[in-house]
This record gives sequence, structure tokens and C-alpha cells, in this order.
Amino acid sequence: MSETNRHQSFGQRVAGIFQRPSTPAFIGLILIWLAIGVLAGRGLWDTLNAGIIIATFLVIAGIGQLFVITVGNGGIDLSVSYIMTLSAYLGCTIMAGQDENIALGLVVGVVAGAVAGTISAVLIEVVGMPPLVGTLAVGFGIQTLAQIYSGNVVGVASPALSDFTTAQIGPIPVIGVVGVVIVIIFAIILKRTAYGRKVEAVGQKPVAAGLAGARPSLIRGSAFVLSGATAGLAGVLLAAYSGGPSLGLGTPYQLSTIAVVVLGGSLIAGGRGILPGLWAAAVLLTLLTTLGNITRLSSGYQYMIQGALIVLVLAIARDPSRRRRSNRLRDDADEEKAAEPALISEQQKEA
Amino acid sequence: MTSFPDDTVTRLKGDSALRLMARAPWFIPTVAAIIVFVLLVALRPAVASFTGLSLVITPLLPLIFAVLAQMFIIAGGDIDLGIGSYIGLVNVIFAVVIPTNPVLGIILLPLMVLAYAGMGALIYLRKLPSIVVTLGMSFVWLGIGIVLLPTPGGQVPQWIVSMVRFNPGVIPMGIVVIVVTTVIVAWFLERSKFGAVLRGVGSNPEGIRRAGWSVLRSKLSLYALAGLFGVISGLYLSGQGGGGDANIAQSYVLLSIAGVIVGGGSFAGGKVSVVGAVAGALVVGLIGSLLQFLGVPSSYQAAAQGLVLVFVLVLRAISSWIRRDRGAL
Repeated sequence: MSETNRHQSFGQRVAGIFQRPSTPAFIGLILIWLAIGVLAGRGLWDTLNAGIIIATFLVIAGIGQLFVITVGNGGIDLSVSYIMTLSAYLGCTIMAGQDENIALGLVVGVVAGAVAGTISAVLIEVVGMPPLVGTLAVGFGIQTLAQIYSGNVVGVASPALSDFTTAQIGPIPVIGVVGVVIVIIFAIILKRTAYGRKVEAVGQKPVAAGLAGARPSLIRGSAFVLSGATAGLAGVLLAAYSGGPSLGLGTPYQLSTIAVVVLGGSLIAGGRGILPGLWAAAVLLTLLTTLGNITRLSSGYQYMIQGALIVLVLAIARDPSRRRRSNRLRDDADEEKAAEPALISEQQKEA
Repeated sequence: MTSFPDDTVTRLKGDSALRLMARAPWFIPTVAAIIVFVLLVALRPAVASFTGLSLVITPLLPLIFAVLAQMFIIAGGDIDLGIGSYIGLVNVIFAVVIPTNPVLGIILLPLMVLAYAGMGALIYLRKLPSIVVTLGMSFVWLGIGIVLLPTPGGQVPQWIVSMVRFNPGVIPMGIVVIVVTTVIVAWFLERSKFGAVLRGVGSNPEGIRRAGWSVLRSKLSLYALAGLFGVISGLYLSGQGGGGDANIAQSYVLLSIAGVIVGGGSFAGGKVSVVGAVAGALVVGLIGSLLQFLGVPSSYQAAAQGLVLVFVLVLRAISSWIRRDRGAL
């Protein structure tokens, strides 16, 4: 690459980075991180470290929510928080503080979530309920189950799993690495495999995707099963981290899993899922809570900020003049077209 | 019946008036409400007395107004997940702000209705999904409520309590309120010209626009009405409870949606029925009382009411399969 060429492509590359849907989340993450450093005077690395550990549970639960939102059709999973709580109780009861039961506890937590997700999928795709009602009804059923079940058991996470959630290799938290690896795996699944492409295609144009060989109702149903499973996994891990299950364990995740999808640059109408953005948004939200706690902001203000942030990002992020078509399944073809010429010309120059 | 003009009735000679009535969206929920009520009376005969009726019906008033609020939103083709926190905030304003600073409280309530209208405008103008915006706003309402009143407490002024509990006799006041409200809202939404425009926004916004009506103004009106009924719901809840709690009405999110759906409303095309919604609210609410009478712990009630919703939707899906008419939900 020659010196002049490099200069040109650098400008384009910077422009390209700013056009990426996940960039705002990363910028926000860095700003809040630095703000904490200035305000608290705590070590920057320690802050980020703690943030990434706690954010990992949100990342895992958020991945399922991202798939559900990306398959479109008004997809949204409101049962995530309840599944997390129930799976936390189930997993910890089975582990009963014994290390040899880790695998069984995790599997039961994940399977319970997947079963709940399957019930939602049947209600939505077979019976024909709107996703909102189907998942909310399943969620309330699970909440009741959790309330009854929690009265009869004392769940104790296995010490090894608890240690695992806080373990560090040198300065790097293990669970944070696990979270990043999971994000990379699901990013590959969504963007590089046939299944993932079908997920995005069904979210953009279900009829066209159906004609192209995908089965829209099956793909949509699978997203709800996945969401239940990831919620179950996140629930068991969170219980292990926080020293045991509690009835309020999953509550914050009902809104925050949706928030991280929206803040991360995925399209709320479906058709485009951005996993790196999800990760950045999860760390951002966690650090925002840290910032709130450092500045001794009451939980009321923290709720207000979280809620307003989502509405604000939604209101700013999408320009309705760009998509005049009064179609419920709006795709982002216009934006893709705008971004692509820059990429092509860059590739040509490099060649 | 309300959906058929009189000349239609005379033209359809083959159908008896009863069959037409049975086909109206409010018919099944009304029958269901009566059945649940009869079950209640069978279980506790005292329910049929003046005191019994007042005791059973009065606590349902906040829920009925919440269901009507949700009905306006669903009529516009949207869903409101924030109504529970909103009613909770109204409750906090009645319990904390109005006793100490009545002027500020009286100013705040219309402002909240305006904020609801603004939320509707935002959803329409930016073409945002109502579910996510109202869910986000629910945390804003809840946050404000918690800032004003961190833990349950406060004292609703006596004049509000006595106003809400006013019950002069002959007919329980709760029933009078329900009937009067239903008649007014049903006339407005199903008989008046403006009501027809508002219902059209949910089923055919393009048609409303081409007919020269403003879709934006209609959405504003629907959300403002929802905000107003949310305030009334909060007023009754405050007067009945006497205290304040930002989380008091969280269960109304599912219950209000359930009430509208059980009452014959549908998400697709913004189909709603006012009489049906009130009957649906009674069904959902009375089932709660029924479970209470049967000694079912309160922790089971959320699931039971969720199950009723699922049951109704499954039934409706089956009947639409039989008629080979998809998209009835």
C-alpha cells in the first residue's frame, strides 16, 4: 500500500467505522468508563474488569433476546427475567453446593429455559398469539412456579462455579473472556451460517425468505427456544456469582436485555442483529449502574435514566424520512446501500 | 349489536336478533362475566347483597379504568406496557404530592396526561414500536415514583378517600360508576364521528389520512385518553388504598391487556369493544376474587389470570381454524 493511498483509505476507514451500527455503543462505553475514572478516582482497569464480569450475564441473556428481535414479526421476549429466576433456583437446588453437580445443574437450568421458550414458540407460531402476549403469559406462569418452588428449597451454587465467575487469569476475568467468546460464536452463527442468514432474512422479508427455502415460523420459533436457553444459562451463572438464587434475581433483565439490543445498533423491527454492539451496550449499561452507585444516585433516578436512554436512542437512531414505505417490516436496505460503495472503493484501491 | 346499523338488521332476515347478538364481540365476555359472578354468588351467597356487591365490585374499579386505558391504545393498533407504572406514579402523586402541595399536584396530573399524548406522538412520528417505547417509559414513571416515595407510605387526603368511597345506597356506587362510564365511552368510541376516526387509526390509518383526518391528532387523542383513564384508575386506587406505593399497579400491565383481549379486542387491526372490554375486566377481576374465596394463595393468582388469557386466545384460535379464517387474534 503506497503512502498516498494509505492516507486516502485511512479517511474512508474512519468514516466506515463511524457508519457502523455498533460504534455509538462503544463510544458511550468509553465515555462512561472515563467518567467513572474521573469521578471515582478508582483504577480504570479495575472498573472495567468489574463491569465486564457483571455485564457477561446480561450479554448471555441478551443474545437470545437479540435473536428473537431479529426474526422480526414484532418479536420480543418478555419471559427472560422470569426464566432466569426459575433456572437459578432449579440449577442451584440441583447443585446443592456440590462441585460434581455443576454440569447437571447448568444443563437443567438451560433445558428448563429451552422448554419455556418452546411453549412460547408454540403459543406464538402455532396458536398465533402476538409474541408480547405469549411470552408475558408464559413469564407469569413461570413466576408463579418460581414463587411456589422457592418456598420449598434452599439452592446453593457449587463453590467451584462461584469461584469460576470471579476467577482471574492475571488481570483478565475468566467469565469476561467466556462472554466475549460466546459473542464471537453467536456472531459467526448469525452472520456466517445458513441458519443465521435465514434468521436475518426472515426478519427482513418473511415471504421472500420463505420462497427462498427458509421456513419462517420454524426459524422464528427457534429464536424463542434459543432465548429461553440463554436466559436459563444466564440465570444459573448469575445465581452462582451472586451467592445464590433470589426471587428478584431476573427482574432487571426484562428491560435491560431489550435495551442492550437496541443500544447495540440492532434494528428493533428485526432483520439486523449486531452482536459486538450488544456486548458494548451491556458493558455500557453495567458501567452506567456503577456510575450511579458511585455518585449515590437513588435507584429511582437510575430507572429513569435507563428508560429514558432507550426511548431517546430509539427516537434518534431511526430517521423515518428514509423509510417512507408504511411497511411494518422495514429493512435497512437504504442504509446498506449507502455504506457499501465506500467499502467497495476501498477494496478496489487495496487491490 | 353496536357494530350493525339498524338497516342491516332488517336486511338480514334469516338471522334472528338473538343470533346477531351472539355474534357481537361483547356477547361472549358478558356471558362469561355473568357466569363468574353466578359462581361467586353460589360460593358466597352474601355477595348478592348490597354490602357484598359493594365489596366485590368496588375494588375492581381501578382495574376497569386501566383496561379502558389499555383499550384506547389497542384501538390505535399499539400496546401499552407502561400503564402499571403510570398508575403507580399517579397513586404516589395523590399520596405524597397532593397532601403537601395541592397546587403542584393538580398541575402534575394534566402534565402526565400531556406526556402520554407526547409519547403517542413520538411513537407515531418516528414509527417506533410501541412495546419498547412504553416499556422504556414505564421505567421512567416508576423511577419518578420511587424518587418521590422511595418506600410505600404517604397518606391520601381524606377528601379523596371519602369521594371515592361515597356510597349513598340503593344501588352500589361501583355499579353506577361502571354503567355510566361504559355508556359514555361506548357512545363516544362506537357511535360518535370522532370515535369512528379514532378506531380507524388502528385498522386503516391510510384510509383515515386520505379521508382528510390527521392520524397524528388521532394518535395524540388516543394516548391522551389512555393517560386520562390511567389518572382516574390511580385516583380510585389511591382512594381505596389510602397510601402510596410506586409499585402498586404493576400487575395491571398483564391484567389490562388480558381484559381487552378477553373482552373481544384483537391486536390486529385495532378491533375493540367497549362493553366487551368492561366485561373482560370484570371476568379477569372477578376470577381474582373467586380464587381468593377458594383460598388460592395470592402467588398463584398471577399465573391463573395469565392462564385465562392463554385459554381465551387458544379458544379463539381454534374457532378461527374451524372457520378457516386466520388472523382473528
